[in-house]
Amino acid sequence: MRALKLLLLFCFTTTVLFAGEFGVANRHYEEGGYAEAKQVYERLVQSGTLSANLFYNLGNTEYKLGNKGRALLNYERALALEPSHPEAKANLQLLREETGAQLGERNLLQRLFSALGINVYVAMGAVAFWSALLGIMLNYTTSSRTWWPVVFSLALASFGLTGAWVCSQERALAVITASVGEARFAPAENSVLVGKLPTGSRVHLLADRGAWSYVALPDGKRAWMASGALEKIHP
Amino acid sequence: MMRKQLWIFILTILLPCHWAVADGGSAVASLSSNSAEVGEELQLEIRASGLKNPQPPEVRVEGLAIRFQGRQEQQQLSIVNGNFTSTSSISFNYSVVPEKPGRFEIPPIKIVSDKGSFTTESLRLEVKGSAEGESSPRMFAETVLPKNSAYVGEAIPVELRFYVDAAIRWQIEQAPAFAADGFTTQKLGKPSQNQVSRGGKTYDLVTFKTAITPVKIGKLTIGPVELPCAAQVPQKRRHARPGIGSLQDFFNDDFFASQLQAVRRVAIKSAAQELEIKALPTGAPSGFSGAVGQFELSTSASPLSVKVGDPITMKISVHGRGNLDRVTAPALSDATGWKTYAPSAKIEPDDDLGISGTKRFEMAVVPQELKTETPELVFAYFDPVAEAYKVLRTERFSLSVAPSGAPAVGNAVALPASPLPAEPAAKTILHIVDSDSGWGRSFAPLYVRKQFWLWQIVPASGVLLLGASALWRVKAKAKSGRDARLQQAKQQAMRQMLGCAIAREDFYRTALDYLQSEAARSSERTPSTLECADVCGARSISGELSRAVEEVFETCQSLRYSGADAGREQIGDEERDRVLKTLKSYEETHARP
Repeated sequence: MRALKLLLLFCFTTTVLFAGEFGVANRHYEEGGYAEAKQVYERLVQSGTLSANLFYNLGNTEYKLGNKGRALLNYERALALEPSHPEAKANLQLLREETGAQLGERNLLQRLFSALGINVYVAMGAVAFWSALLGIMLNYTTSSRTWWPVVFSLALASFGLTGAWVCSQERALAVITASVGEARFAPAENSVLVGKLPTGSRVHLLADRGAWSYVALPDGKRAWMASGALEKIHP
Repeated sequence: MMRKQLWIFILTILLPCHWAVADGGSAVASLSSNSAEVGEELQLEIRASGLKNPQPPEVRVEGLAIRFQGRQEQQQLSIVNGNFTSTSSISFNYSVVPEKPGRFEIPPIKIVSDKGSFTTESLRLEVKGSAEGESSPRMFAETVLPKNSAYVGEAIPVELRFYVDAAIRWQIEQAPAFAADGFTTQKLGKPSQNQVSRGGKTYDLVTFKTAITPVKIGKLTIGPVELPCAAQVPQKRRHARPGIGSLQDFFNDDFFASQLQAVRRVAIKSAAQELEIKALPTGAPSGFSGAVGQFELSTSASPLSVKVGDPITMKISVHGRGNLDRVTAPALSDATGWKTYAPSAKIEPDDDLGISGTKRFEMAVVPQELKTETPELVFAYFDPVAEAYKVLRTERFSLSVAPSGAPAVGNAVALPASPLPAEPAAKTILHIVDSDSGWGRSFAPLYVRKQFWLWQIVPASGVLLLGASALWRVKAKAKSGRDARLQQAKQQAMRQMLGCAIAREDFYRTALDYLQSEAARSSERTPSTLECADVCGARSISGELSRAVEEVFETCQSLRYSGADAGREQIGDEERDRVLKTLKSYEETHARP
């Protein structure tokens, strides 16, 4: 009992402390101290205690500092933690229009499963799986023979696992944070350009080779980009 | 006596002899043959005698592929003028494969050892090949280009053709490599393979297709192209060692040579080819961004009825043959009153080389003022066939642009309610969020977190418990059903035994059934299979009760297997009571803890 109380106290204290720092950063932002606000937000990110609001506010701060690419990256991160964050969605849409960021086409499965996050699908799949198993056991150990709940649970489990799989493919997405993302044929500065992407565009990271990354561009082509020009949405 | 003298003579000769160790050193080089054909493997041996720690020398001759194969140490004893001589030698063996016909000289080879350095004599080798009018080569390569000159930026299709004698079993080990300094190259497609006849010989022909684009002017070289492969080529091994002669000739016969097939790694090479690359002419039109080829332009726009500030999507297609990757989106010939955004681009190739196809662009243009038609887009490229720059223009579509309701740009009117923003309808981001809820999130998905899997223990335990309890219930039900049946059998037996007119044989049989049913309650066996020992053992009875039970069994059996009339008489009361007492005592042993 005492251990439980200590644990609860620790969680409460940590939350209060982080909430306190978050408030400090917000005050800096309100007062126009965007660089200071960014420092505090980034310190919170480094500490590992994350929230969608943290990344959203950091995104706003980056925008105010003129780093549109990093602003888009942080909005994407806020949505990765909370897919239905309305402010992050709105600002992301606005900034994409402003920069002309290219995203690439999503296939049918990605459009279907984009509404919820990967964790929701994993939880759904797990709960449905155990329910189906429970239903099967009950049907075999009791006199009742009702199979439709089992079928429904199995279908839901399949749906959840498929959603989790589709969402996991998106974990390799990266956002171009440089002002212009130059895509090249080969990992060399003097290699021929394949194309240029505006800041905030999304690419699919295929391989990381130190200073260069091999990516799939929004139009489907493959090219090399300097690793410093992009950053993964899911760090 | 004579024999004794002979022995003395021999010993006199031999005893004073001494081991003579050859002093000094030498190095000799030899080739297994001084003539060969292109591709035929020869053996080069460098024998270093009397040297201490000689090092294998490096041998290089242009036109000969010389590869070190290993070393061999030998100790040789010889008798010279009655003196035993021991010589140690080390042989360095090399494989020599001529790559082209001609006369070659392997220069004197220096062997370095602890005793100093020694040099061999030079060796001559004559190599015959197809250039001398003899049989067609076994394998060769060609690089096929459609022209000898091109413009910088022009995409040139290239075919790499590799011919291998159809009689040879071979396979490609790696994709071909070729030097193309000054060019960018497309990825090699999958090769095609077929058989062709050339010079009266049938060849396997493997063709790789690609495209190259020169990026600088001048005389540039393509190749040589090299295709590494492994081939099984019949080997004629010719050894120069003396003394074995006729046996070697026997094995050098064509029949045996054809069976001796060694797998060799060879590289099929083609000669380099020159291309003259010309600079694009001066006077490029404005908007030219490096597209070279032959192209056509088409476009569409929608919607065609908008308000000021609403975007119109223009879809532009550039179709043709050339360096499609260098084709950029056409630009507005006059951007006055238009705002544009960076377009998206997509290439749809028609061929595997990627130099023919369609490049599609989607561009958003926003009218900032009233317009009557869509903007004209201009695309400039260089046509290498016509050797001239060409400019394509998109058609204009009739457009209806209605005022947006807000003041037009440059026409600011102060409204009494609030001041106008610098740009009409300017959007800004939403403010930050103050709420400090939702902490403790993580990018790591649930399935990589330990806690998630720990939580799965809960439902897993529940399912396991449910399964275990269901199994236990099934077992208990089965047991209780059996118990009920046994109890029923006992009660029926008791009723029969208590009946008035029961024959002795029937009585004892029923008593036996009773005992067996009672004993079966303590075991899983069928009652009828239980013998006397099993019945006694089931309750661990002994002494008088055990004897009484035995008596029931024995009496029952003796009545069963005795004559037809024995046991048909009615059982007496005293006997009945005694047996019933035995049964009751046995039953009571079940109740005891």
